[in-house]
Amino acid sequence: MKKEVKSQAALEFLTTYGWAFLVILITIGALYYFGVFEFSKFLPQKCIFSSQFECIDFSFVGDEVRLRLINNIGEEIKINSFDVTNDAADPLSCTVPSPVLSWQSGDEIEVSFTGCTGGAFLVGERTDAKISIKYCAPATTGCPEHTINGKIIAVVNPV
Amino acid sequence: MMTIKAQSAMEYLMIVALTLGIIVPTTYLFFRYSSESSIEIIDAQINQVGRSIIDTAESVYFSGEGSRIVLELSMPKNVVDINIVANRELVFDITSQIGETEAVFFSSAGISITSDDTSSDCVDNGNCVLSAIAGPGLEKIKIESVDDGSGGTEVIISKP
Repeated sequence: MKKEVKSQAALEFLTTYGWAFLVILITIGALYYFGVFEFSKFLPQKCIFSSQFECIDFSFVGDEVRLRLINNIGEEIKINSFDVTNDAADPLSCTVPSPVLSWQSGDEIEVSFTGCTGGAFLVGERTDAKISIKYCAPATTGCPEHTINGKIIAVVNPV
Repeated sequence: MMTIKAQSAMEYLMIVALTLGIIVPTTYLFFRYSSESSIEIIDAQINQVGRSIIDTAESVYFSGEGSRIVLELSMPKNVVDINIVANRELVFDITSQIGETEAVFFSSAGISITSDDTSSDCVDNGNCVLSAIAGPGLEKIKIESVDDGSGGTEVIISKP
């Protein structure tokens, strides 16, 4: 009789624990599903460029990547080409802006990549864009080409 | 008796879970912040090194032939190579979390910079290798004003 009572208590104890664990697991699963554990959203939105090409403003709006850069290199330069991508399985692809024939030292330019597709570029999602700029200094003989890379991490805003 | 044990075990688990719930996201956020800050620090270091070399080259040039300065500069580990392009541009090849990129520093018009590279590309086109000073840590860099062989002056950047 005494043994039966003990085993019943043990079973009830285990059952209660089992229910408790089940409830906890379901709660954690639900929180994960709703993105509570996506800690990266607590990180600031950033535009990382060399100080020679200071990034003063940036945004992801609709299907566009926009940024404003200052020429801090101390020379007039010519932008030969722009490129944008990211590390997603289906990488970001956009229509690139036209080359800039003359960008004076200290001047600002606005760069807009339009019609962006892929690269997890969805409204409300935090994503990144790797920007590559090829440029040269006309004052140097032969205008040898150089590459500067930058990165924008931001949330895609609706239009 | 068993209820008390179960309660304390549950309390223990809750405290551990709460502690982990605080530590894990905080650590993640800290590492992300610090990695982004390190890019800015490297950029500032390279700018300081590049500007020092170019400013010293200009000082040495205007001090006249034969003048020499040895700089001691701390080179960041992300600098994989250094080159002189067209006797005018000092180019740092950098690798960081945002990929391979370049930092370019221009000498003033009329000041020709070169290195101790004896290859034909350096001699003929002014595209000289300066890999010897690209290693991480403290580097001594000799900047010397010499005769360019055509009646003018050029500045040689090399490892002493």
